[in-house]
Amino acid sequence: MYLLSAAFWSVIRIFIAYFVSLLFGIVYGVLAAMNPRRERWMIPLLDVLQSVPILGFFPIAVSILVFLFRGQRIGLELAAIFLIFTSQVWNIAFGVYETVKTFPRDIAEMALSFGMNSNFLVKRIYVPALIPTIIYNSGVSLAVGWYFLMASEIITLGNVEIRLPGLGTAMMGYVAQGNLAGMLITVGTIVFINWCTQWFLFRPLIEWSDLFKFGAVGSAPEEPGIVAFLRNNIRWEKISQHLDRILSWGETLRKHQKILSSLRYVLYAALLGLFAYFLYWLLKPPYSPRLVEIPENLIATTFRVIVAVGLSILLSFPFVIKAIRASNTVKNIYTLAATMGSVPAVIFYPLIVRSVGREYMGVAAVLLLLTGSLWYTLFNMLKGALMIPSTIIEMANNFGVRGFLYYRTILIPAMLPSLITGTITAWGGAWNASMVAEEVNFGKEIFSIHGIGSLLLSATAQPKELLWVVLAMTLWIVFINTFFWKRWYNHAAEKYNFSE
Amino acid sequence: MALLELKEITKAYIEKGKYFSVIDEIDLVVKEGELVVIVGPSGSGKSTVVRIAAGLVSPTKGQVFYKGQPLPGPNPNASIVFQNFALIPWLTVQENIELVLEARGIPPRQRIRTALKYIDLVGLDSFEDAYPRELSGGMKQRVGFARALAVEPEILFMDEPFSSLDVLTAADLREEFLKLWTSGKLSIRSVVMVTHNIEEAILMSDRIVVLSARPSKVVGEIEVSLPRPRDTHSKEFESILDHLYALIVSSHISK
Ligand SMILES: Nc1ncnc2c1ncn2[C@@H]1O[C@H](COP(=O)(O)OP(=O)(O)OP(=O)(O)O)[C@@H](O)[C@H]1O
Ligand SMILES: [Mg+2]
Repeated sequence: MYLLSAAFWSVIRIFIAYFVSLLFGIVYGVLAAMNPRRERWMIPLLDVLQSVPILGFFPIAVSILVFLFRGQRIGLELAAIFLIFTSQVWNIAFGVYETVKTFPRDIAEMALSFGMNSNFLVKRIYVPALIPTIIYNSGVSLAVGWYFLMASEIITLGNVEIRLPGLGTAMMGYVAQGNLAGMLITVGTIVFINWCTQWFLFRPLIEWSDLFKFGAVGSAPEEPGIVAFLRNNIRWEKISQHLDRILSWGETLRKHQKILSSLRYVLYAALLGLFAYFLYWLLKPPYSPRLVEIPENLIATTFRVIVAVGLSILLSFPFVIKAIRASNTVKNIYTLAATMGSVPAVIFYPLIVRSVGREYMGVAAVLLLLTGSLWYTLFNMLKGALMIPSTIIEMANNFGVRGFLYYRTILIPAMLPSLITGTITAWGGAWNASMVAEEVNFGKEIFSIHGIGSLLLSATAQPKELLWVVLAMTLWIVFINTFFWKRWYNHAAEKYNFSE
Repeated sequence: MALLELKEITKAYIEKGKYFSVIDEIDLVVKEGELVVIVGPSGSGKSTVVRIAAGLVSPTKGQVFYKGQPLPGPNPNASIVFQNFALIPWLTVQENIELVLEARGIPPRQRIRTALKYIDLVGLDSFEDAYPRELSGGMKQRVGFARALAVEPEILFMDEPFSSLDVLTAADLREEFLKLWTSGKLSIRSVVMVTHNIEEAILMSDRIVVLSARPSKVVGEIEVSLPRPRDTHSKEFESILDHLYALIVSSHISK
């Protein structure tokens, strides 16, 4: 009974966060992709938000929300939902952006030539065309959501610990008691819930989403019951009308350019002032002596993250090859991966650390990072494998391109863009996991290894030190992203693009 | 009278930091009642000319005039038939056509009526509820035609409309289109078509415009005033074929 209500609360949290992510991700992705001026700032921002370990910001967000709601439960719930949301949304937003960006040219020209305005285009063409991407990315998002759920239900504020009812709290309780049966049942519940979502919701949806793919052939897939239900029971016409009204409201607002731009300047000025004050506060001596430890710890964590990401890529390959060989197995691999990915490895972590002991905690940490990154490479690479035009695979078969040559000349180049996207997101995931991997608190005893995550945890008591650490980490990650990943990605996107 | 006029149109793209002209000062006049065919080597910019003429892409230099007025954006009196059909996969045949009517602001009742009328006209009745993926290439292009005609444009652009189809299907569809075009049942006053197929060009056109390789210029024009339906084995046809062939070859050599 206790587990049932815990499961109920956890599911509610995850799905609320997921729906908000869905809405936000679609709006963000579409807005960014449709206007180069917006794109210039929205995509770098997205990159930063996606790759920065959100868990590092959690203490800050919690304090703000708890302050706003004066410590009522709703504030804590919102904080938890917010944390889950931040783990789910970027993946969806990025997928949406990419899909709109790589939209088939002839369809876009068709829309333009028949005089479709941008509202019409978004509502009638972009949004339906996004369905496959959204459904596909939802698998990752939900899995990642469970991962973060565990971290979000137990909230530490100063020296008070608040527990929200849910599976994460339940699990921690059992771990503390050393109740193995309880742990197993909790994990079983999580797996069962995910298996149900995958099997009854996403499997039929994935099949159905084939209808929305450009260039698909063969008979049209059947409409799943849930889609028919949603279509008949929600008054889309009304929603669409409301949407139009909001959009036209935005248009009228835009007509008042002057007011808007002066408002914008006020906003800029306020932000700038705030930022200046913040800098002043941050740079004002005295400095904590621990700041000099930042570089060394950053490098230690970076090293572990690289190992984990490398392993993720290697481990994903067999699945991808299997998926290409027999494309009918993709759905099974997908369901399996989504279910497995939802098992929150974080909760086993204390047990593992305890059993391997202090000396090998580094290895255990890499393992934990792996569970935070593997799903990203796997899902993205599976998606990339599916997108390889079948004509190219047929061509390779016809000409007997096989073995090493096949991987080197066909498979890897063809998958490179999605491989890179997977690597980048996995990189973000591994960083995130680092926030919990480097220190385990067993009550009396604390196991910890060098790294930015453990440094961050030890700094939570001092806001200024905390901010320094978070900032240094953010800048470091952004630096690597812009000077390494971005370049690689652009290069690959240019060189290996199948769509002309 | 000229319905459409392209004046000294140049289009350049930036590639690796350098400007590359795709088309170079092209002049083209499409008179009312005329079917103009553009031929030229692959990559010479035929599709680009069509995009510019329809107002989808703005030229780097030069101007497009429609009925004597400069064209500021997508031409609302034009529609396009695409080589790869450009159908929306999640909409049925009828919905695909209704979609563009809806975009033009036509009320629901009339949308259905018009859509059904043009589905009939292109010989797709009983396929209203099929999805594009369930249709053969030829049928898909019929939908493409029905959609382009349904908005009742004054000028129709066709970018290699038959080149994704097998020879027989293409011949069939071509003939049907010519029948509709000569019958005067359509709202269309002029047609601009791009093709790779020289025979097809002579079969259909009133006038053929030959482009050179990139950066392309107009290397010559041929009037085709044979009576329709045309016979590919007739003497006149063959002499035009030779002439056109020579023109295309010379355009390659002069490069
Ligand atoms: N958006 C673009 N950016 C850069 N280059 C472009 C772009 N669009 C077209 N080009 C280039 O312009 C040239 C002409 O393209 P276009 O599609 O008009 O040729 P085409 O004559 O229609 O070719 P085809 O016979 O293959 O259809 C090509 O070399 C192409 O690479
Ligand atoms: Mg072309």
